[in-house]
Amino acid sequence: MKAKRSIFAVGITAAMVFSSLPANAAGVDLKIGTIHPLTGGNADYGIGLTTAAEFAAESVTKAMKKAKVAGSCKIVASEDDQATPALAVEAATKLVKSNKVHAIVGPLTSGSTVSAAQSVTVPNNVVMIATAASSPDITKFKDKDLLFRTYPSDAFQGKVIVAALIKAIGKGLTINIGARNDSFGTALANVVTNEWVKAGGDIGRKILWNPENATFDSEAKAVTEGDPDAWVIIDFPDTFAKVGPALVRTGKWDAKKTFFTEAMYDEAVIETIGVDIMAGARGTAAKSIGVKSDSWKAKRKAAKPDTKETFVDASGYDATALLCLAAIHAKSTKASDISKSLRAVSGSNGGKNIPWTKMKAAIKAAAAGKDFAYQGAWTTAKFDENGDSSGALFRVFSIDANGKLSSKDGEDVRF
Amino acid sequence: MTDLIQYLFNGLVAGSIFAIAAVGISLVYSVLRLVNFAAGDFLTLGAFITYYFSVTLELNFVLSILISMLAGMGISWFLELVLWRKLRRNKAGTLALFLVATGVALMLRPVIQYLFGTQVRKFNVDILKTYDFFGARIAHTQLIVLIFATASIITIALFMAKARIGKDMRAYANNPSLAAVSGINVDRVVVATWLISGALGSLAGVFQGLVQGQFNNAMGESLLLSFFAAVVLGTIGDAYGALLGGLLLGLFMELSQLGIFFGGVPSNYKPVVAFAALVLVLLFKPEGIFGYRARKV
Repeated sequence: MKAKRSIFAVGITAAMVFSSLPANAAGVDLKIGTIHPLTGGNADYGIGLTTAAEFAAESVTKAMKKAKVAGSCKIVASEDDQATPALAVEAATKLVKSNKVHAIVGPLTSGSTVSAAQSVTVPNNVVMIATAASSPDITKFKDKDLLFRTYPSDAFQGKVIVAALIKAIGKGLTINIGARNDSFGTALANVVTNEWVKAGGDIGRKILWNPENATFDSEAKAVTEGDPDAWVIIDFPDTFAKVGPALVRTGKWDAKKTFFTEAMYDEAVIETIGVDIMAGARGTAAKSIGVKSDSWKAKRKAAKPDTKETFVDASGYDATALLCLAAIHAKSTKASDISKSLRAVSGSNGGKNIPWTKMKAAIKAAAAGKDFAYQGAWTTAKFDENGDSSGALFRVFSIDANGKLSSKDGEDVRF
Repeated sequence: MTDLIQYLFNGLVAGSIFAIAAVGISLVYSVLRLVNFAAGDFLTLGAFITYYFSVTLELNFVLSILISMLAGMGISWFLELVLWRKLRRNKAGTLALFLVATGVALMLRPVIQYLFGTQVRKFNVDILKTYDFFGARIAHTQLIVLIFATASIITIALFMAKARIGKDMRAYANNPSLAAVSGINVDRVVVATWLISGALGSLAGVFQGLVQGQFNNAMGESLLLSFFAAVVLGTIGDAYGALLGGLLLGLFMELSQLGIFFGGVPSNYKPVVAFAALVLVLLFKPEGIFGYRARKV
């Protein structure tokens, strides 16, 4: 009788213990790798995003402990692709084959994203969330629902550039477009062309340049022909550092009539290219639609004081946090499960809003298998059916004579 | 007319840099039967060493270029002593040498990155200054590069034709066995080849850095394909051919954008034009423009 009572007591105790544990008591151990340019012309952005991803993994791990949810979410390796597609493929291969990661955060650029997805992550069934890839081509990419992005598509930015141009110079005029010949440059140049023509304007010249060209003087000459009313230049800092001087040397280019994209939204970049080249130019750049962004910046700075801040850092934080939450929600590290759960935790299936500041609550909701809308520091937008961010906010910036950036909140464009 | 002058000038500048780099590659191949895949990285190294002495240490720019050429020569010589000579004596084949050269390139890249970083650099020269020439805008830095590159090309051509070691190099390239039995000091020829190749690589790197205005650690490797195209166009292993091949390649690429060619070939197709020209030349002269020299041997 005594033995029977003991067995009963142990049984009751065990039942109580197990019932008090969260649904995924076994926990998932999610291994994430990052791919960003850690060296080269885009290194500031890449280091900022990588640091933010590490910060997210640390924040989630702490919150998991507080929420008493078993498992882990770790950045196991951070690779440098120098914003080069070939290196991105090598980096993704290393992460998938050697580090055996379940998911990747990054790359930064569209060319690297498409190459890594096409050659490595999609064939190997690994989920990837690109952090700043904006090419509209990514929307149509056949990715088995494994490629997502937290940064808005240039389908939005093209419209913003054209709206800013119309405000600056008026409708029905002629613009010349100069763009780098890659996934990002060609796709955004096409969007701007379509939007500008739709608004009644003309495209005088559309010149695409190969970033690896030996010289850019002939390209500069071509893009300044025809006396346009304005220019749209779509390029990255390391290439424009060579194109810019060539444009000035033509004697026909005017920075004050030129609109750039977000890659130039950095005072260090402007300094490197040359304030005398960039002064007076304007541009558009995506802006955070996240919640408590300034608070996030302060926390990130406190956690990682040595890393320089860029405007897009929080995108790396949200991408990592979303992957961790999705894995907890899916109770799995399998790509197809994480992919489905990414929508469940980003609000695509409805549910209440949970901000990044309440990570413990988000983790508890995910562990309980609930659908909710994670409200990040960069984005509050849910993923659409293509894995794109469904909302966006853009600023229109200008560069003053000292190379300083400024923008007015009233001129922001929201989608 | 203005357009023709502008594109012709741009083509000559790009072509002269191709030519200088290509002649170094061609010399190494002709004497050593080695496809020097590390040639692009010697360009990058040359530009960065010049930057270090002229900008960081604020030495005279010309003196800095000379130091960088000496450094290029020194590194080439060091590699000959510790690597290439031993491989030759072990009868390493062309493929093995090519793979080792690729390995040297892959090792040089992180070394350059470690030593000089990956930031965009520029020399202390006015890259925005231009001159008007019959309506064409001639950049100050490009003019300097064209003048000095032309002088370098003439010097190389004269050296190969007149200097004793230049003649020895050509003789050895044409027939190594005959050259060796006729008393030519083979080791001297080989070392001279590496020294010239190292110096020209550094010089081409400085010129390229000047023409671009700014450069980073990826400069040389991105141009390597064009250099090899120039070598093939001018006949593999022929130094004079490489000079001509480089110039022609630069001119093809830039002049293709003139309006008379179907309204101007879009600039993103410049490499396509260059390689189409290369294929066309090779169709009619499979050994390159100076191919008859090779057939004579």
